[in-house]
Amino acid sequence: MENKAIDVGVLAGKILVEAGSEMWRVEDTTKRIVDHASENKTEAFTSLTGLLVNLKDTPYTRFMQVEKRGINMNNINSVNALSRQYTENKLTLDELEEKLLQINDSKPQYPLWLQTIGAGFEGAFFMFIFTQTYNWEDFPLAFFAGALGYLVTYYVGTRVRIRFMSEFLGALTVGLCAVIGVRLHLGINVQNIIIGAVMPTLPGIPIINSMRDIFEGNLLSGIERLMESLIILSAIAFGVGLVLRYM
Amino acid sequence: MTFYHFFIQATFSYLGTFTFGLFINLPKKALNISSLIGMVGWILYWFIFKFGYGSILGNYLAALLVGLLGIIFSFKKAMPSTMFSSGLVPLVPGASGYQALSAFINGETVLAISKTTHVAMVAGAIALGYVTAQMIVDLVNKKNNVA
Repeated sequence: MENKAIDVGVLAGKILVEAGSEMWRVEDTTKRIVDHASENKTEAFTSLTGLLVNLKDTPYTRFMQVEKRGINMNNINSVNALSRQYTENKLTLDELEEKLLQINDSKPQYPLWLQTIGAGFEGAFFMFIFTQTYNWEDFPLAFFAGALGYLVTYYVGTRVRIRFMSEFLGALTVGLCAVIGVRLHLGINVQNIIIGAVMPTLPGIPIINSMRDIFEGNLLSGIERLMESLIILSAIAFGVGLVLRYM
Repeated sequence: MTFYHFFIQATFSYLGTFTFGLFINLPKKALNISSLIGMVGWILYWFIFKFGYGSILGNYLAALLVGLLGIIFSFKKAMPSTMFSSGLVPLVPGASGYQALSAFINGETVLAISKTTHVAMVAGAIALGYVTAQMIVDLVNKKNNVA
């Protein structure tokens, strides 16, 4: 029973880290699941690349590696709801494990085309917000650049093992779209279009989570996340800068 | 500042946060609320900025409001408060970041460093505001049962 609970707890923690949850929730959920099945005290060590859970005074210790990280709010919500149902005895351990495995294999609830359109519109809408300008002529080009940049980031991210290349190429695409589009008189202001369209690739949520982790005392994961976000920001700056400098 | 400008700022911050929710896979129940929170936070920032109180205070207070609303709705909807953190997205200092980058490229290093510092301070203000909201709720809430 304890042996199984610790397996399920680590699985829940792994799904949460992969979905980009803050570390406080990862530790809390894992401990809650394992504590519910055992009298002994649970201890957890969490970082962005792996989880270690130990049940005191027993031979049970588990380590699980985390290989990919992204943002998937729906998974955080589902795991959170399931762990609450389990601790309220509405689910057995076997049912919990089955549902967690389903979540682990689930696809995003919005298809890729909708995500891409969302990214394009986000770029176009935030162009108005960030620059405080009201140039409707730039709207289509910002939409197109944002959507294409998101698609490139997505595909390179799924195909290439080297991290940060996807963000660099995405930002490069956004810059090239903006500059070429303006040269073809499809838009007016290169600067505004880039500011808006690069928005979907920016690591906004990870930066906020890193600050939360640091303030809540999870120094290791906070610094890991901050460094990851800063490198992503540099990759984006490099991609946009290359276009601005040489075109 | 006309009604037209206000209308555009409000609707576009709502729609921008909504479309952002689509590719971070936000649950359908949370999409509308997080977008409304994003709109309210942005409007607060916009007013503070337009009345000349500077962007640091504006970002801090807006992030505080977003954090508080997020926690209130996380209790109401029984969802983690992280679901509503996408309301911070309109506050991202995108334009200042771009100005810093273009100053670096043009070789104006002093301007670039001052812009970068400004971006870092705005990011710090947003994070601090968001954490302050959590702190206020922890202090007020007697049951230590934070969603």
